[in-house]
Amino acid sequence: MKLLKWALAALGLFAVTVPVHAKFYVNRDLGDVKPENQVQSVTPKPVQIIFNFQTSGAANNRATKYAKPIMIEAMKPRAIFADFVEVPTKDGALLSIDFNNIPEKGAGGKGFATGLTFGLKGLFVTDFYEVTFKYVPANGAPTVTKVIKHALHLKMGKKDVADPGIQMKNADEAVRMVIAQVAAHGLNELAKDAAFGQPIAPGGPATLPPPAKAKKK
Amino acid sequence: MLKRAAGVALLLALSACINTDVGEAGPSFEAVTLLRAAPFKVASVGTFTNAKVSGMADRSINIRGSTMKPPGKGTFADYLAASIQSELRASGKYDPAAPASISGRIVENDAGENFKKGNAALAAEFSVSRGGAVRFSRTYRVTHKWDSAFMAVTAVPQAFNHYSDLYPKLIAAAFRDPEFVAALGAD
Repeated sequence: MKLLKWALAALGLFAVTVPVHAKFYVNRDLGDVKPENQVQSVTPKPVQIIFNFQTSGAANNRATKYAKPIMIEAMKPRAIFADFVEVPTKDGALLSIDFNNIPEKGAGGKGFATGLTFGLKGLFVTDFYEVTFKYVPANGAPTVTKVIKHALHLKMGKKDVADPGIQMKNADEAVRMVIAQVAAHGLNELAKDAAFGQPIAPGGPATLPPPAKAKKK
Repeated sequence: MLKRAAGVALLLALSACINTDVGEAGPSFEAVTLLRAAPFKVASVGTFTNAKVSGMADRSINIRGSTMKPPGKGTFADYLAASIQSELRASGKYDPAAPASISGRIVENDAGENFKKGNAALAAEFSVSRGGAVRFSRTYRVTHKWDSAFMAVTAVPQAFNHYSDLYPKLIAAAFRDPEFVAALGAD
């Protein structure tokens, strides 16, 4: 629970401490990797992983502790790498992921106003994510970089929004879905780059790892 | 009723005390890539201490009544040593029995904000020794400046994040110094 609090803090959603029911929505723009675009590695190999969660570009160690295992679990079924390890691999393959959360400016103030009015003044704020994947295929090889963008929305109180996104049960599940979609796109983009250095083939898992009880609105 | 609600909300927004630790020291891509390319095989990490500077934080950083501490019962100097060890391990260059040892002393450690701007600074003298003799010594300093917030619930974690971000940056500053890494490789 403590970690979840920090996860929320990482998301810039401090307003949830105000006793008004909050709803979480995953932005629809990124979505799943389309099956026709999906690739997998023919001979997947282990990779050393470095994962850092950031808030507005600054390291957020607490959120890193929360999000790193979720990210690794989301990447495993993608069939791009055989394993994710903490120590150098035999050939030096290295994958670095900077998961940068950019909270909407003034989100805290909006949440404050919503709490103050018991939800009469509605709130709809966005947490943006800019995730940088850096892959070094082997010792001395040039770095392949891919950036994936995503967003998570929070709605509280009376606020009409035409299409707020895919509604999730809670913040934790919303974060898991954002991470799963980012993982799928990030690894797919890396693998499709000629500099990836490994043979790839079309295909891969049919769907993303379960976006835990997601419901469409 | 509304007044009370306003009071509670205001309190939440302005105070929201947090007591936490700086978190686990993880490796950074920058330091690991620098270390991989560095011309030395392995290094150990010795003792890091805090210089006796009046008012310098060694066990907690305080922002608006909230505190951030080093992990466990250690000091920020211990945390810096653990962070260096983490970077060396991740690059395959850590060996506790290595003849070249990195030790040091924090000489500046501060974070603060004034509701509008925040700033944090960390400086440490890094030394390389072999067989107990110091072969190289240099001080590195890194700073962060950011736009702070009126509400503590935003300002406090923001300050803590910027402060903890100084550690990987300070370590990268040392490993970016060709003379420092050369000293680790010299016989």
